[in-house]
Amino acid sequence: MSNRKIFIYAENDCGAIENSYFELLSKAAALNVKLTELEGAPAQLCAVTVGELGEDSLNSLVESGTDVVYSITDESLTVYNPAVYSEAVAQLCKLEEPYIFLFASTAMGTELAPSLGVKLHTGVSAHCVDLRFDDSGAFIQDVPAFGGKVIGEILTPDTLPQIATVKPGIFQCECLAAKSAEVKKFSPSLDSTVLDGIVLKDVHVKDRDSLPVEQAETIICGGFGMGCDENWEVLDRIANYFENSAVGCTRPALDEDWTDDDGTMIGTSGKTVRPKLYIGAGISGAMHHVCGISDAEFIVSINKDENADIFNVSDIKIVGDAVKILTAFEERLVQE
Amino acid sequence: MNIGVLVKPVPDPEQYNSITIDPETKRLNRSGVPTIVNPSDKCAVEAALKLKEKFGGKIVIFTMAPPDGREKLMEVLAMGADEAVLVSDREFGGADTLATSYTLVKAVEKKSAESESFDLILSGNESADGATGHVPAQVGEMLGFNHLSAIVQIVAEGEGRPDSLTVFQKIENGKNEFEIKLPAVIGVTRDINKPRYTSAMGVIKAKKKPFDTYDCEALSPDKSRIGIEGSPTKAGAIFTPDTGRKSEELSGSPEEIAEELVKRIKAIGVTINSGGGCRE
Ligand SMILES: Cc1cc2nc3c(=O)[nH]c(=O)nc-3n(C[C@H](O)[C@H](O)[C@H](O)COP(=O)(O)OP(=O)(O)OC[C@H]3O[C@@H](n4cnc5c(N)ncnc54)[C@H](O)[C@@H]3O)c2cc1C
Repeated sequence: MSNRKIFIYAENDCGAIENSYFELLSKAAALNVKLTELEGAPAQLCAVTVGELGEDSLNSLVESGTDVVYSITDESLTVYNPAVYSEAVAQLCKLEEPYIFLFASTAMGTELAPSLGVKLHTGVSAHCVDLRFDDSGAFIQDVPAFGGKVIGEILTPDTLPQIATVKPGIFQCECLAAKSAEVKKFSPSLDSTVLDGIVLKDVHVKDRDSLPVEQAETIICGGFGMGCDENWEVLDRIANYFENSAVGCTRPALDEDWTDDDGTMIGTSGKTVRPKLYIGAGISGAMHHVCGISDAEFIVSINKDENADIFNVSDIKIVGDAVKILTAFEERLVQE
Repeated sequence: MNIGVLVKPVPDPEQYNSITIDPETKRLNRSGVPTIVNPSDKCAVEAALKLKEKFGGKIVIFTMAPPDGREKLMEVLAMGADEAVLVSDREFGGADTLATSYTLVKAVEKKSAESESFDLILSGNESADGATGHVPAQVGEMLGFNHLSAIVQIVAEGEGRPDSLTVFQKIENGKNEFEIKLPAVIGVTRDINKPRYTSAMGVIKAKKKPFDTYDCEALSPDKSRIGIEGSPTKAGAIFTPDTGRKSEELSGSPEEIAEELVKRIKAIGVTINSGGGCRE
């Protein structure tokens, strides 16, 4: 094993490890295969966590297939404070000098990564859709621009670590060969001025009794072309006919209050989904939405405009009024 | 309460589908796509105006852009901001988020030194084009201010200039409620408000408002931290992802289409539950 270290930030949600960590780890393991080819030895994969972890969570990290688990703890780190967290992580980086540092582009990751970029004076790429080494060993980070219409390669050639954030759902989890990682504790020294600038007062968790869109196998998605509140309900009724299904939406549908669950918005500022079946109705096909569904296995689109952009990215095109088609579809489902 | 707002002119996001890459030059072709004020930056301006209505003070808009960025700044002045600063120089070109943040920070510091210091810097959480969302955090770090991103609500209570604000941050499964001490940098998302329209009167008044242009000489920055040189990230090739699919059309009456659709769905191995009830 070489001295190179690939750090992966393991988000700790009330003591449990977020799934995004396992997605990033799977990608890091794939990167390591190429690195071994290029350099003769793999890099060390290292999970980095901040705050106390429950025993089960720590174990799931230790057995996740990583080589090292850095556990950063301090009494000031029990409650999330981005200023303190980024300072603590920066101190670890100064000590261990990672080569690459991966974060999920979650609320937490998108705050920590750029802060770290300033503290370590290095480059950060955002919302990557792919990461790879080219044959010269350059670390290429593919980032979307213009809502995903264009992908640009980003390189951080001269400074370390090369920091990248990746949207949850972009990489798939793969089980890595089990091994037992070494746990290294790290205690940062945090001075009081960093500590009290920001205080987390409360966390308001939204209760959701339905399946999150990013886990759904079938998604019935509505856009602005659904027209009104009452029309929206047919989406729910249709979703009822499919196991592991969810109703998704575009930005305008949310703005119109046809749904109040902003966690179901799909696209650049929302979720990236990979269902078996996606049925979209009254959606124009703006890149901001389309980039969130490009990994769907089968895309069916209903739009009254035969030239709508959404049809270019669809397997099945249905030109017609969304409500009429969906109503006929529902009536047909009843007969199953 | 003195507020600085960072805004960016961007190509209109409603028209990103018409952006292409020239196959010969490999350059981006965005001709015909108009430039607008970045949507969430307008929300930042609106949030600043609301705070000013309550606490008084002054709103200064900053943008780093080519000289034609002036037009977009006039639009924001017409919304009700008090002063504008255009940070513009060829040497700033090609900057990544780190170099951009540094340049904006130099401008904010210059303005503070010339008049009053800022209690709050607001900006849209991310620009529609690059959408990194790095600038609020990086500007905050460099100014040494407290900073938070993805803010969907700002609550400012009491009379007089507050020492801190209560803010709500959008997270994956809900919201974090933070108290943040001023001075601070806050990145707001479009959920925070609906920006006001500009009035004819606003447009007329805007023409008389103070407008500064800072070039590289005016800011006397550390040259190793600006423009392409000062950017640790470098841009490589660009390409358009292939999202195209076969787009097979189903036609006929709605009933016929529904019949065919059910067939296709079964063919890909998705099961339909008779009687529904899957999500109850
Ligand atoms: C920074 C940024 C981030 C964004 N992030 C997201 C995101 O994450 N997700 C997202 O969805 N959007 C996002 N957007 C917004 C995005 O750019 C588009 O505006 C949005 O996706 C359009 O939604 P829509 O297709 O539902 O509405 P519209 O574009 O208004 O399209 C409505 C469609 O419905 C069709 N229609 C109308 N009536 C009927 C009918 N009776 N029957 C059938 N069809 C009908 C019309 O032909 C039209 O094609 C973002 C924008 C910005 C600037």
